[in-house]
Amino acid sequence: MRFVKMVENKTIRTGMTDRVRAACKALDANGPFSRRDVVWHVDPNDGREELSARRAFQGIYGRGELIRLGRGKYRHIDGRAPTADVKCKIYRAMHIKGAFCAADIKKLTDADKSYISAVIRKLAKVGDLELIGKSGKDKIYQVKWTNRFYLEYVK
Amino acid sequence: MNNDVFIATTNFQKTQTLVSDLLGPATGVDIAAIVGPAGRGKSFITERIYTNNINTLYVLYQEKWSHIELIREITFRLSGTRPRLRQTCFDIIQDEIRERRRLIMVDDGDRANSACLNVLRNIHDILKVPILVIGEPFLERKILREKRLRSRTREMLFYSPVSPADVNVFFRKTLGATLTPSQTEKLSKYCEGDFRPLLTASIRAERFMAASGISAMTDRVVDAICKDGRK
Repeated sequence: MRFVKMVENKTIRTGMTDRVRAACKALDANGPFSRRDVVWHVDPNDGREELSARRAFQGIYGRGELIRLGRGKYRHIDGRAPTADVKCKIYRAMHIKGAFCAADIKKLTDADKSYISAVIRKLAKVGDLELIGKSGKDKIYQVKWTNRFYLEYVK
Repeated sequence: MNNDVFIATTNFQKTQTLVSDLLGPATGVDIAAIVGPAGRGKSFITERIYTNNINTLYVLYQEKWSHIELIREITFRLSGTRPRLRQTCFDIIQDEIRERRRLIMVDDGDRANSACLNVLRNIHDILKVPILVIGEPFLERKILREKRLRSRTREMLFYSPVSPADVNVFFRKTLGATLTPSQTEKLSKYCEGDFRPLLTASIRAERFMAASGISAMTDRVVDAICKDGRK
């Protein structure tokens, strides 16, 4: 499930901003929505999470992803969400390296290593990267079809 | 050992300044070159700049490429197609550059022949695209040989050797070891200004320290690395 991860057999919901953004997008299909609708849709576990959702909503509104039509009436503007800048950098680094491990990508992008590993795993799962070996603890991957990878992810 | 370390060296900072200069308003002299012997980090720095700056384009020149192959590769990087005809490539590059101005970086440019360098000059002249050529010291001679290339070269950046400060920072970041000035000097001498020997030295140091149960970087470790290191 999206926005959920398991730590020590406990379910932890992650990425409040993403959850709020997804809620805004879903609610927008039925017309204007209020902040309360969004918080209800996010379904916070406790008061702290509810406060976090409210703050995330304010943040998204402040970034111009929402427009206020009136009291308790907001609309979501599609395409104003920030682009995945780090992901884009990771794809560029993968393409330029050809064969790499997570540390190589970290050196080029300064992104978080666990995030890089997650992106690598995802791409390996869909078959765009293939495991070619191991160097100590690091797994070495290779871009399977360089041109296709470039056109799909980098360009 | 922490093997995902990046050090913002003086060379990196100078290159970044050069790239932002080239991406500024076109002046007609927007060709630049980065020159340095192998192991100074030219390609790595260029790759890092390409990764972090979407207004750059990276092409690795491959041995025996003709000027047509070079221009087709540049077209592919810009548009995703590789047309056969040179004029079609030019038209596509023009369309793409009109949409967003980008810096074309050609690595291993010292291997390129005169025709390839002149195709880059044509792209620069006709399409007003900034060009950055990266290569070993032979590239300098190639550019200086032709006046039409020389006169369009805004800057030729010569990469300086790895400084003792870089050596110190590298060992601190990779092994968490603090070096004394004499140890830094020894290691700087050992690596002869290149990054690759520095990396191998840190790997050897880690192994040596693990084998002899030492946790700090002592003179004994440094001597052992430098003694039976490079021949």
